Amino acid sequence: MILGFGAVMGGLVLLLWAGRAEPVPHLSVDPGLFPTGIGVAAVVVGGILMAVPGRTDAPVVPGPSRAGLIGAGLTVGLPLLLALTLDRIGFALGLPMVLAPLMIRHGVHPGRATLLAVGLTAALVAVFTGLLRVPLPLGPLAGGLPWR
Amino acid sequence: MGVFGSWKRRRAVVALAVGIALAVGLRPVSAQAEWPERPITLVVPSGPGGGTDLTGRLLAEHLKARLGQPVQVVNMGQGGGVVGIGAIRTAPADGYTLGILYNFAHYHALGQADFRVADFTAIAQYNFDPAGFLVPVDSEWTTLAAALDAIRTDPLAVTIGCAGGCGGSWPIAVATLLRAWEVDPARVRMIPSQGANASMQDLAAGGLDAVPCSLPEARAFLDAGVARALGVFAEHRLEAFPDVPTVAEAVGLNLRLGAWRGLVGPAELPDAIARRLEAAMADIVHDPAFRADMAAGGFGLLWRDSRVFAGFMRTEEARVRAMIRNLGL
Amino acid sequence: MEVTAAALGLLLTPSVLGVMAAAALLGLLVGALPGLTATLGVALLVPFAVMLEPLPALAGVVTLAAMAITAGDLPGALLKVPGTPASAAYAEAAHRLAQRGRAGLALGTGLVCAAAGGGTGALVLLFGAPALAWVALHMSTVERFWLACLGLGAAALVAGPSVPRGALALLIGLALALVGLDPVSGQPRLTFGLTDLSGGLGLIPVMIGLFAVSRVLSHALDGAAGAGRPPRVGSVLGGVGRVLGRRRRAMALGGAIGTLVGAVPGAGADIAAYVAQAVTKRLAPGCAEDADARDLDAIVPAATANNAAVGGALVPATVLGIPGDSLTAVVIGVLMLKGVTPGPSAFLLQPELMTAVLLAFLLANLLLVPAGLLAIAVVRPVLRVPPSVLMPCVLALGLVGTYAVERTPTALVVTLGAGVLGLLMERARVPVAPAVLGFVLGPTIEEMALTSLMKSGGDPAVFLSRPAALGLAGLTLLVWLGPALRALVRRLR
Repeated sequence: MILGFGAVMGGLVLLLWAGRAEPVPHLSVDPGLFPTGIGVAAVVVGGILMAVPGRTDAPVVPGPSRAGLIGAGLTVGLPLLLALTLDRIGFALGLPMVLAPLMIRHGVHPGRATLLAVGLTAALVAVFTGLLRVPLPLGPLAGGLPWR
Repeated sequence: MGVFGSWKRRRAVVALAVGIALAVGLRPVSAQAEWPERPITLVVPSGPGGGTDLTGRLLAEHLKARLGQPVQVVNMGQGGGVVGIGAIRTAPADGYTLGILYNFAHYHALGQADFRVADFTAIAQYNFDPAGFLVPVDSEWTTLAAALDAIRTDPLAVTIGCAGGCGGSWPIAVATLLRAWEVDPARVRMIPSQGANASMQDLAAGGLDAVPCSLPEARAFLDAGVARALGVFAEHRLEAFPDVPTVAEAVGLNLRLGAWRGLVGPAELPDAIARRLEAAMADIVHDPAFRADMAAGGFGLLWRDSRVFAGFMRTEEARVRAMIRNLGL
Repeated sequence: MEVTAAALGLLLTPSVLGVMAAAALLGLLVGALPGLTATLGVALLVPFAVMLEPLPALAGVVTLAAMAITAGDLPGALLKVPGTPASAAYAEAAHRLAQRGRAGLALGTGLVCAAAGGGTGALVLLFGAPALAWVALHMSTVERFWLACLGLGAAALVAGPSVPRGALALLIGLALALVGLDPVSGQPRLTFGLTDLSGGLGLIPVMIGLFAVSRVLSHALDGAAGAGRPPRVGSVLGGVGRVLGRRRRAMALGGAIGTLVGAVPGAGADIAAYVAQAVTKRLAPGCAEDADARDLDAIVPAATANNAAVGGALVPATVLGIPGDSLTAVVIGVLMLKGVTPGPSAFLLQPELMTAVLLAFLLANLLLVPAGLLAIAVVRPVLRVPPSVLMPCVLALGLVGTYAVERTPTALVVTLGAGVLGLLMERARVPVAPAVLGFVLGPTIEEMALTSLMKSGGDPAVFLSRPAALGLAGLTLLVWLGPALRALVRRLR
């Protein structure tokens, strides 16, 4: 029901946006055509989802706990921080700072988590920059690698 | 229950952070060493496999031999090259990120991205491939003049592939030709595609009447006997394609148009580094081994040093901008 | 025959076989790491290939491609995170099997199907290449539009019990694909002024986000109450014979469709897998007596097709020198760097070399089974890692893999955003796989539809203007309207 409503609203937003697409002078076809098609389809599918009653035998998923929400927030937030500062910090330093707190939060012993995080990062950096020759931003640690 | 569980755990995290910070602080700071002291990244603003990628990889091999450091090729072909060219522009001007640049003036003119010549440090141009005019092998048009006459009679019945965006190097060449033949290019059906190869495939399948693109890019289709070249926008016939007449021979118009590739860095690259790179490039482009490799791939060679290359790019930018306005694209 | 013997002589030398073995290991690694695709693996091989003789270089490239596509099944089954987009079509089905303690059966089936599909592709390449190349060359934008629509039909069908939810997922994928330069006019669309988004959100960030990050998030949200670990992998090859024996038609169809779709320019292994799944479901309905059988029905045709597609894609590349997808574009690049110009003349001038490359591809597909068994044995302990450690590791792999492909921090942000979207979809019981399909096919459908219309000046009759287009349109309608017709009949009864 909510899903169907969301789909209809999404489709309408897409239709509005597509209607605003400006025609390009040298093209005979309106560039808004394809987004319009998706919008119409979304409205139709949303309508079906609203009209067809949801299955009653679906398993009831309990709402997330506060601790769960914090955990999920950290799982998104820490990598986001890493992404925004990637050019300065690099993977070699930043990845353990994402991994260790997440593991600790899930109940891994802090020492073990730190070791695992640093070890996994070292392995990943070695595989990517050493074996596969894909340059990764390594931040302040760049240049300190044996194979460079 | 705190964010990290118990205090003990939190202390461990703090200790980890401090430890890493110390490790960073203690790293010996390298003094102003001689460039290059670590590997160089060469951004190729196209997907793997195309002409820009192939010549870029060749260049990387030769640069490595002359600079004594690995040169890592990085393909960034997203958005028709816009992402890769943007990456060259925004890279730090320390000589460790360089890139291959090709005809890019139309991105700005068409509102796709705001690249300008001033965003880059020109190092040297190494390649130029003139545009060719290709038709399906069973086309009624046997000469360029016949094709142009047919287009002039009924421009709306003709579909021409754009081989990339419709403002790119190849369509601009053909639009210039049409204009010279007094055909309004805006009235011809120009069909965009993801690149020369995609347009040529559509041509072979019977979906297009003509495609402008370089002859090396069309070589597989010519060899397979599914396409014919009616002319090439060059001063002389190409060595690898002696049967293809120049546009001057075919219709008497002296047009030299096509795609170029050169090595650039971000703007304000230190002078010493730029000079060193230019010298290496001069050495490479005149190296018989490099010339042979380029010829094997069918790529044309053209040497322009940094000053001439920069001037060429500025003229090109102004010309393309005027042309696109003119064409009503 | 003389040529074949000479080619075998060239191929069966220690140096060539050694390079193939090394490439096989690299391929397994690249395929099993989420995010890294077969294309990227081959591109990574190029610097090494430049230093090698032509034959070992090319044999290594084709071996790596075959191994990478197959190894993509491993994380798909064990973690529900497809290693390459080619495995996305059946990652959920394989993971469901694994959760019921039958990971071995899922992986073993996938492995044998891959070998069979790859072998089919290789044999077609050896004997039927010119004919197939002719077909591939006659696919204009109109035919490719219908082919993409045929692929879209898969979404509603593979989505599981609810067709509207599958369709919704498909539309989400299509909408996400709108971001980036408009494929026809080239104007930036929904990029919010970011140059990094000009190329769109990117297949790898979206796929890793929807499959991998969403799983990590889901685990974080549920805490320890999350799904229990499957007790065991189970026997790997035992039972595979019976499973495949009952799905001979599905396998044959998968191999044929995979080879054909792979040969069509612009359609790769991922699209082949989805198309095979859709067509098989319609033309060779499987044995849906229980959940395991249904999941195996989803795996068999797709796992066969994605490997067969590699052989198919090599057809226009080797016969005509025309790359059908990004993978073969790299292969052609390697050929040209080695002084071999692919195309009809290559077979005339260097028949032994070209035949040897094709034989190497066949050999690589035969080696798939032992190499795959080895890989399964290596990754088997992954199942024993507790989720508290495994999930952050999946996140790290996903992030580094995404960066390695896209090389922009923006891609990491997109990955995380797609992860949140995937979590919401999972909670709303909307399947994820159709969204990936929609994302893959969106730009193709839009470009093919609009350029076809531009050729005709806006007249939609262009879509039925060619015989091949008519045939494909009929097949598409059959696949699309099949369920609707069946439902109608049921209701009338």
